[in-house]
Amino acid sequence: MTQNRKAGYCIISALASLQFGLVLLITIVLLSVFGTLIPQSEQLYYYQELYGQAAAAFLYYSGLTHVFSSMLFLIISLLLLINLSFCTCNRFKYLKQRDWNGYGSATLHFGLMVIIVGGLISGFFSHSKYYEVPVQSVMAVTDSGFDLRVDDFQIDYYENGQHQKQPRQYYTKLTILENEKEVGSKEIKVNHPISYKGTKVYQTSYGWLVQGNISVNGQQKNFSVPAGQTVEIAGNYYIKAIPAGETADQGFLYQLHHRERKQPFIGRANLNEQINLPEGSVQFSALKKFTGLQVKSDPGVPVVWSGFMLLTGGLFVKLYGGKK
Amino acid sequence: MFYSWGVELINLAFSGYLISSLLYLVVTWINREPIGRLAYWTAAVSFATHTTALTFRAVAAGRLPFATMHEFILMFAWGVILTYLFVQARFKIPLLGLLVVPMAVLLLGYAAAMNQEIRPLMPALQSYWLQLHVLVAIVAYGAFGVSFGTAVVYLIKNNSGSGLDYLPAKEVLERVMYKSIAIGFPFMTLVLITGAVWAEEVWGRWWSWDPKETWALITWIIYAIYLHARFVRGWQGAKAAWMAVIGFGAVLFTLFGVTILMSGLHSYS
Repeated sequence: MTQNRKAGYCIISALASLQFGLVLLITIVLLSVFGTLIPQSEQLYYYQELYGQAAAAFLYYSGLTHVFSSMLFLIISLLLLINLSFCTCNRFKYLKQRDWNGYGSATLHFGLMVIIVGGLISGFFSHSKYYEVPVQSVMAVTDSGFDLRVDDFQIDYYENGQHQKQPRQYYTKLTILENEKEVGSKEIKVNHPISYKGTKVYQTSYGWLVQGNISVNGQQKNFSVPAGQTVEIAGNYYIKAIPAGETADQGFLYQLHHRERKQPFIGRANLNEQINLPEGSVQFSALKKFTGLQVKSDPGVPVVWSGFMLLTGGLFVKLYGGKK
Repeated sequence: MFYSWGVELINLAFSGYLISSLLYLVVTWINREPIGRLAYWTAAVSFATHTTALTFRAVAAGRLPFATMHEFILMFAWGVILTYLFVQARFKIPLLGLLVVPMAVLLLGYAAAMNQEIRPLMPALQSYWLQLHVLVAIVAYGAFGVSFGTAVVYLIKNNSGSGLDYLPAKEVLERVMYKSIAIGFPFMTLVLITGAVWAEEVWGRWWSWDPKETWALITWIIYAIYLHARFVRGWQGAKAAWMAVIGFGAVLFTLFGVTILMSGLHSYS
């Protein structure tokens, strides 16, 4: 009984010691260095190509190819959290009145704990998804209980001098819909996302969607593909199309490729012009601008933000609080 | 006009720092007080020129010179010299100038070889958080640059045994090294925090383990270890000085190594 207690005390005092904390920090540094030197989150064959069979297997199964999401990194973070909580408790226990240095230290260490907890929450519970939404259409946001209608997308360019035509800002006008009722309208731009019911919507990208239909062996199908990307549309046909100008009536350049044939069909077609294929036909019906929206929810953010405030406050009180 | 004046003044400042470095080199051979003072004032005048150049560039760009790698290196050198001028005025550490002023020479030389064009801000960079991010980075890296110089002086003193009497006592050097890191550290913390808040606003992820932010965190942890190691027996003295050297190595790697060797989100810096 007493021996057990003694052993327990030893383990706790080891976990709580400054030396152990420093060892954890050094381990994090080393793991992080590996995490930047080894390309992360690739497939096994990528590493086999790069490092050879044996080394690749070692790196892959030890977690060094995905350091920051590895079990080891999680364990180290938890140990650091435990170590910090002992250290923070001790700091608060021995505080004296007007010991600003001490208050600062205790607060900043507590702030670090909050940040680590927030980081774990973010790591496990944040969701993020990317949507490409044509202008004037409605997008259902998964799991968030509301829809978004994209009313407009605009690019603002720099005007004068040699930097003419460099984009200054991208804007999307959005309307939030709940049960098909309009709740509100807002404009988002890069660096200015909107936040609604814990979900944030970011302006991330833009592009054009080429729309049309294909009929193969009597079957008709509509398609909507990003300009310049090769996408399978129907009946073993792949398409890559780009608009010839800025509007649909200037026509489209296309490349149609059948999975089993070598020679692709390449050409230029006007709006609604029929392109004949051996099994049917294709035509382009519209060119739509789309906006690329990143939609995410992250319950860790408010936690991390409060940790940041505690950490900053603590550090500056410690630095400028006078009394040593 | 302001743009080309700015470039000319930067070249002048570069020459001034070079002359100051050479004077500091002379001081190591003939240790004469007036030459040391001349070296210091040459650095100070070059710093004033450097400041004016940055002001002109800001006027020409219509914004603070915080947006390109070229501009950041100019600001980095500026921060290092600013901290140096303060520390030297207060503590008078011979040799520190010889270690720190050439840093500015190298940085400005490197900056001159880069694309110096003033570019308008791309949408991702239009954020007050970015400006704050760079501002605190200049303070932090300036202080770390000086702590590095002091650490090297400490190690030289430490290895010379009883020689090099004109260098300050090891305790003084240790104190300067500690002070500059203790001042730089909260600002380094703010570099990470402002970066995270900005990343959340622009990419929707406050932390993504991108190589540059990972190396900034590595830098922060190394200095955190330094600040704690003082309380652990056997980690003070030369070991602590080496940590200050390694910490600044991490600063330089974050700025140059990562940019040159690794790809990531910080493509514009």
